[in-house]
Amino acid sequence: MPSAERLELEIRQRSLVAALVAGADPPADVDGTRIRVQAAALLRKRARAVARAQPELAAALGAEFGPAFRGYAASRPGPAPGCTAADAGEFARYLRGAGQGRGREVRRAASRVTRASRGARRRPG
Amino acid sequence: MGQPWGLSGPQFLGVYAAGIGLTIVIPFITRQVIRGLPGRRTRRELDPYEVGYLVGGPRRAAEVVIAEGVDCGALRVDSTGKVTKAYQAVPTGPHAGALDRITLDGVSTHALAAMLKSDPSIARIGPDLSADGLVISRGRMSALRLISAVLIVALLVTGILRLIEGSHNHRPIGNLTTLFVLSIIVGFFVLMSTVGRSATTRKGAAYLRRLRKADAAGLALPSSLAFSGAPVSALNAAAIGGGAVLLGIALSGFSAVPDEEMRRALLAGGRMTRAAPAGPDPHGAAGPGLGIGIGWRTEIDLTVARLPRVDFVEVENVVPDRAAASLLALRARGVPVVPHGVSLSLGGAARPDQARLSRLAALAETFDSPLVSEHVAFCRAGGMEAGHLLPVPRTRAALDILTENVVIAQAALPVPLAVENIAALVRWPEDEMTEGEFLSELVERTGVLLLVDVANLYTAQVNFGADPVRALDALPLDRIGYVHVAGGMLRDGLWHDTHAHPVPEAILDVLAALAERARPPGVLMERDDAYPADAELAAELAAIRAAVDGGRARPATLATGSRHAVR
Repeated sequence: MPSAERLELEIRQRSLVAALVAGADPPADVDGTRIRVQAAALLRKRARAVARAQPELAAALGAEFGPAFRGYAASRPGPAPGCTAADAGEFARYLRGAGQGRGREVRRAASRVTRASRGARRRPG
Repeated sequence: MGQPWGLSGPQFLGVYAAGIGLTIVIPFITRQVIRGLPGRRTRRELDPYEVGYLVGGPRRAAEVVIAEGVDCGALRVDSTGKVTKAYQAVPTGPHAGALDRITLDGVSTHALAAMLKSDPSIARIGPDLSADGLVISRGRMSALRLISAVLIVALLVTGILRLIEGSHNHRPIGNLTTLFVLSIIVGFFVLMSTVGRSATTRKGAAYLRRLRKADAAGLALPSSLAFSGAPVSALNAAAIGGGAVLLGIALSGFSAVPDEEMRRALLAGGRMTRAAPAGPDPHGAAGPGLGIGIGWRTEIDLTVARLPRVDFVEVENVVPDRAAASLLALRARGVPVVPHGVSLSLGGAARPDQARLSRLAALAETFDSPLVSEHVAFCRAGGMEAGHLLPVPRTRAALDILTENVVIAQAALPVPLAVENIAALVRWPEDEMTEGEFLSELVERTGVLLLVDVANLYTAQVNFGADPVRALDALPLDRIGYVHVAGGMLRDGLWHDTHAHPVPEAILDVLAALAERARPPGVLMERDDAYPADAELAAELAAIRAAVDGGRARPATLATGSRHAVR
């Protein structure tokens, strides 16, 4: 059973994480601009990790990659550190789901990533 | 009943067999004639890319281009054969443009060669060589293919008609069936010999024979073959060996690369290989301390193994049983490996996860590490992963929880733990202490070691106006396990600790200020992305070494002066 102090810290920290990865309002008295900057930096870092883990998928998407990844990650907190492969797999599944209008290259790369990610959920990216 | 087509069965078999013979002989003779035809012009000497094309078509030429890219530092290959472009590196050689046009990172040498071979710059070599009469031109090859195809079709149609006729009239067709199957096989091989890689002319073959003989005998080669586009860096030259080796690669592929590790990497093409442990490191680890090190990452594993004077390395996200062979080889050479955790969330509200702790402990056992490190941060809350290290509120209450968590971690780890100050963009309004005070108190309560990240002290200076020298003066510097240095970038007035940019002078100044106050046992550079060429990484490590040595050499009375330098 966590102590009252731990519960209080949990609430405080959860408000920050929710603001950063789930689009919630910033915690009381924390600079909202900084939160947005940090959230954008997090997203860039996460997108870059996925692009590096799946170069073919990133190449197939080209300039579309950034907007597509932002669309995917908007309300989806990322995986634990070192689990980029899982994130890439989820992103590929998202692409296949929202795949209307995307090229054959993208669909093919996405299916390849989904297949590969099934066997490698927790392998470090 | 008369003989169909005026031929008896055995007679037809004889004619058909002769037809098969002609289907082999006519394309062969045609090819020999074509091979002997002269080109439109007489030839200067070839360069290694052209030799590669002559031997193995555009694919081999592409391999020579890849080898040159690695040689000049524009490309980097890791031990699994994955190739990345070096950050801001400028490729050299006549096909530098082809490398410039490549946008994919992290693909195998195999896939990269496949992409390069259709690049206009490399595809152009073929017509060029055929104009010189060294490879059979596309038009002549098509003519040969047409002749072969006509012969094969005629043969097969005749065979089919006779088979139909024979089975229709209940004649024995066993022998004809055998010959027909043979004609299919022959037809297949004759046709296959006219597609695929470019065939050399007799002149081209003679040129190659001369070249191989000269190469094997170590004779002086034509001057054009001794070239490499630009002076190669000393580091990479050891790996590939410059222009003369490019010729070897043109003749025999990547297996001609003299350096075993590099050869395996280039040949691996994306498959995992088990590298043989290398001999003892000539430089060895620094005496009692750790020395100067670099973060080990798979993309730069061969670079790390080759950089001069890497005294120790740090690893993130390595799974104990699945450590890369190249990492184990480095350890076997005597280079200390420090596991660096990023996901314990020591500053979080929850107690550290036992599974994560035992993984870190197992890593420390695997590598016989002198210590392990983690951050004073939290990275998850309420079931959500932040994907990054976030600052702990610097309050008494949070410090109590952090203390408890650090003690739990220390108990689970077989070696000392060092904790690191993070780079933050946000801060808590309830902060009661400075970072220096907070960390000092933590050290006092737990005896934990410090991993002082000077880049993060600089980050706090830019983002929150916290003086890094005052922070250093507040910290118990005798408790430093080691030090981190990394590059970052300024964006809209805020410092982003990217680990993807060069280490700026201002951060080296903080390092020098630290070294003036206490000799750090180790200093490690973190670079996680946009890896520059080997030579540039080596220069950055040298600058770090100089900052540490310079700082140590300077008398303590200059300490106040350095405050201005840091600002």
